[in-house]
Amino acid sequence: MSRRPLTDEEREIWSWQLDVEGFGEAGQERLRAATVLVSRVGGVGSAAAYELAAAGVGRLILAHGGLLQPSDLNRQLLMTHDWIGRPRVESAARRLQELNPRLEVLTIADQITVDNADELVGMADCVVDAAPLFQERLAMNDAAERLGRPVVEAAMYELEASLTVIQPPGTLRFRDLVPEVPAGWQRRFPVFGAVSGTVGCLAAMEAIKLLAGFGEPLFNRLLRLDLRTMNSQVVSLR
Amino acid sequence: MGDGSFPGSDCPADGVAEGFVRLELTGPLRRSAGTQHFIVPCETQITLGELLDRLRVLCPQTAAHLTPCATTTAGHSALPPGLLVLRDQQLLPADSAFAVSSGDQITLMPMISGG
Repeated sequence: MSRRPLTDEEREIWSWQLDVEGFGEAGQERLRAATVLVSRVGGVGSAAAYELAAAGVGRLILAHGGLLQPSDLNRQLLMTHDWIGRPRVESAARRLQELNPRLEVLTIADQITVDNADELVGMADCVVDAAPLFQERLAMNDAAERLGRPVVEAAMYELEASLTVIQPPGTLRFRDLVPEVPAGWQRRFPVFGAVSGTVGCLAAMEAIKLLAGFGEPLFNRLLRLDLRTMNSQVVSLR
Repeated sequence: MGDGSFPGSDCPADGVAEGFVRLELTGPLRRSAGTQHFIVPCETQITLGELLDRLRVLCPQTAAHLTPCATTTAGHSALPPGLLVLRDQQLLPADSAFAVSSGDQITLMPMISGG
């Protein structure tokens, strides 16, 4: 997407964040010109996408298959009760555009696979990886490495969460951390929405820093959070 | 075993006595073990591979997360895929032959994917 000066209306909407040191109008213009792929828009991805829409990212590509289930509603904040039985990704797009009508949303009613990863990642400036299966994370990261796109890796389990930014060759590859699908990981995991939402918001902030070019993204560092104790730690990956 | 102490050991729960390594378990590994900390007996030095073997024996319910990787690095077995091993907030090499020492506090952190 092309970069152009902010209109007066846009300047008013984002006026409180334009005051952030190192961000300013130039950062806002970069956000508005950017495209972010978010996969999926479950507990983590919903919160990340919502914050990106609020911050003024110009275009979101949302990849998430399946129909909304009642058991999604404890954490998937872009879903609503009246949408049960209908495509999740359409509910997400609807909610995001209610918040930010300027936002362009491309919906993909499917998960990321090795077959579609290159095309979808190639359309984005940055990827927020919030997928519940390692197969999807590996496919997305392999494509992002080929195409030179940064990936914000956000994940949680029970009351724990982790966050890092992957962009080889400046950082480790995701496959350096996860060479293949780990044994023991199960599709269903214990989750409070407050935990997935926390790491989703943090993931959005990493994407905003990457796109706008300020702050210190978590390159070669991994943030560990334990919301049971509220302990946090930044681990050096190099 | 509920507090993660090795039976018969006199390791304090919040420290590491000589002759032991104190493990911190996270994520699904912690859930399988039913405890966050685990004390494993250790000579002056043992390899990460030996450390994981001892954990599997002491706490068999962790075995599902500790399947060794089929690939090899420089002739050594790699660690289970997706298992990060940390010491002093620093990532250790994913090499089963890497040595840890008595008194170390090691974090076993399986990568998680909850979204």
